[in-house]
Amino acid sequence: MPAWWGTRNNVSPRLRLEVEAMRAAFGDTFRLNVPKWDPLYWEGIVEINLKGIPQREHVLKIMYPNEYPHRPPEAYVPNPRIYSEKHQFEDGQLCLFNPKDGTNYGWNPARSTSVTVAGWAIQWLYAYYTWRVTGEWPGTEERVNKPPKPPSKW
Amino acid sequence: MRVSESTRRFLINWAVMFALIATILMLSGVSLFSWFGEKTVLALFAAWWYASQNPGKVLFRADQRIEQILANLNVSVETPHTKPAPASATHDIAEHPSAIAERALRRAGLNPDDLPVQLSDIGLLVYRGGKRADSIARDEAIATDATHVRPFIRVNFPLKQNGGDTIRFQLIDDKGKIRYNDENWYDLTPGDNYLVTKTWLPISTLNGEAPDGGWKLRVVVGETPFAVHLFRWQQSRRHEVRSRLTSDGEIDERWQAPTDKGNPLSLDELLSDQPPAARTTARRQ
Repeated sequence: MPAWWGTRNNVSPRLRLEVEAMRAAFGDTFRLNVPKWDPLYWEGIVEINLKGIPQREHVLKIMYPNEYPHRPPEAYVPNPRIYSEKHQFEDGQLCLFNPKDGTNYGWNPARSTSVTVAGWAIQWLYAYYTWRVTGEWPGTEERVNKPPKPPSKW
Repeated sequence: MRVSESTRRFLINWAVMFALIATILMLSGVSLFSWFGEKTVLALFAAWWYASQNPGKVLFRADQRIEQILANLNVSVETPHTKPAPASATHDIAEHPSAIAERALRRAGLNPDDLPVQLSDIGLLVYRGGKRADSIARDEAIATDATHVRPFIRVNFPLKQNGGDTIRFQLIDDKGKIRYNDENWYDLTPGDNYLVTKTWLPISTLNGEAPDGGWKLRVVVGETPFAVHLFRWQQSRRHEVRSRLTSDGEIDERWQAPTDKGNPLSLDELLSDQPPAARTTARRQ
């Protein structure tokens, strides 16, 4: 089965659209990496403009799954290493939306792009640091059980 | 320990050879020291040792250092590694800034020869999302993928005492509408003064429309028009794409990326203008 992004000699219209959208939204902040075997991913440095955090510059990685666009891209923060008991999977992937939200509020394969996920990931970072200080995660969130308390230290 | 006769002979031969080589090396060393001086010999030895520890590494490459300095200054230069594309016949040769500035003065109705203050440069700083200006535009067209622009002038103040005045920078669109107005007091010191506005014009606030056509930068000192500089915009595909993205980064379902089935695009072509893998300036847009 051919990759969703086409081949090295003939890329798919969807990848062209993704690249144009990322460039238009973020300029040269993100760079598309094409590993030989692994999935394509964007990587870039975003500056979180908050006082008192240990490090403002965050490396953000947006990885396309092989089933893209039927599955949304996955977002990770390789540096600094972030571990949150809330809204983050064990492998570090950020939990950005609830699939129950449907295509209007969550991932929409026809409309959403990696720009959407990058924007959600940046919002997630701001929410994460806010939660660490206030104990409250801003915005609506899916509460499964008793919410965990943020760690007392960075 | 019992050693066979052949082994004993072999060991004696090796011991004699080792002693001979050591003697020759010592004598060579003494001769080198006496002929060239100890500092020279030690320097040569140190260079040989460094080269052996760093195979393929050159001690000093002047062109690398120059490229680094120019890279820091955002200046490009022709080197054997990065030859620029040959200029096309229609490519404009950039004019000297003072010639552009002189025309701006004359457009404002002033004669440069009659002025106590000399205008030596005028134009706009062009930003593309970062905190540092990406380029300076004088008579070059500004691509509409710029995120914001800031006017600047450079004036030479010949008097010996400090001075100052209220200076207004205005950007006027092709329909004559003022799209930007910055008025501030600027202190002038004897000699060259670079005056850059403290505010800028965000391109995204122009009702989602890309600026188009020929615009004017008008500089007014006090109540007197001082310079009128003309510049133009160049439509950018990036701006068109940005206008079709929602604030959530979603696209209009009806809009698709251009598909030129007769002319497939390779991955290398698609990513040809991508920045190198080195860390880019951190920014959030």
